[in-house]
Amino acid sequence: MKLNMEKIVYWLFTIMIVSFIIGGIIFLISGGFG
Amino acid sequence: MVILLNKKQFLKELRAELKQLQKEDLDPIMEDFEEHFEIGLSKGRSEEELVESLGTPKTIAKHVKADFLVRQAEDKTSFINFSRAFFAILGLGFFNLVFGLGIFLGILALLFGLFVAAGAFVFAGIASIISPFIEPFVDNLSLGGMNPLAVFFFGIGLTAFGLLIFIADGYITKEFFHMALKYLKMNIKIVTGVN
Amino acid sequence: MDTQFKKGVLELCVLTLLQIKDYYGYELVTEISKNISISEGTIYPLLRRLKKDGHVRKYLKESQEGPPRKYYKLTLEGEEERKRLKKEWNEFFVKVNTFLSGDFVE
Repeated sequence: MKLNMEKIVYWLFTIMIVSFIIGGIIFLISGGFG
Repeated sequence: MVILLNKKQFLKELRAELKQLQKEDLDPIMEDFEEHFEIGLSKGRSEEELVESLGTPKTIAKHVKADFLVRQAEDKTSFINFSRAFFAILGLGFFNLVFGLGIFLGILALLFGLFVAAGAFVFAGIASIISPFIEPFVDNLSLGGMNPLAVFFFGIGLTAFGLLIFIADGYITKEFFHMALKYLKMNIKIVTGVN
Repeated sequence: MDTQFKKGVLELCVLTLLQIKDYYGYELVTEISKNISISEGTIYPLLRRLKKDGHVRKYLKESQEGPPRKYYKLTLEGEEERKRLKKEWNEFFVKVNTFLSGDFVE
């Protein structure tokens, strides 16, 4: 199996950014630490 | 009075003179002369003429053996030189060794610490992913008032973050070892070069 | 002519010939013995040494007149060596001539 490091890093980065954004939005909408 | 040999006698005597040689050294030499005779004869020259122009097997063998001995001496010298250089590096570079080693270990510890941190992030991330699901069933586990979905997504992000740090650290560590090796080789080259 | 001196000069001659073109063993040997009187047989050990030192490379080439022949080719290191030996020879030549013509301080 050919492991394309660049692709893995790219996807991890994207997942990280998207997850933090989604999580952040939900966090803010739901009133934070309420 | 010199008795002229024919091709068969010439080659036989040559082989006899060189019998101390290993097969891998002896065979190519015999091949060279076989070829010489073959080509010479095909050009119409006589065996006797060829033998006369080649010289005596003894003289030829002398040259072959001389080259062999010279090469042996050269190889021996380089090993002795290398040993000298090696001990010179050890002795001269003692301070360098301690100082350099200290720095090397320091950076190594840093890189290792990064790996540990990456692992911690991944662990925390995975824990965050699972916790919204198991929270109702586990005592003492609280999401701190945060929306479980948010925790879930933060968990994914954190895990990804940890993995990225891990990968980056891997690259840095590889490069570091690469450079450390280069630096070491350079030092050796300088010492042996001066010698 | 002194053997040791001849040996060094011989090496220079071989490398110089190989710079012009690739030769096979027999060709090289006969070419050199045209101008320098030596036992032709001693050239083969020299070629072997040059190959071991990395100054020449051997390769096989088909020949119309029979079995494939072993050709010798100058390597990059060999060209460097040739230049070095040529320089040494020229310097030696100049020094000897200077000495012979009497242009030295008494």
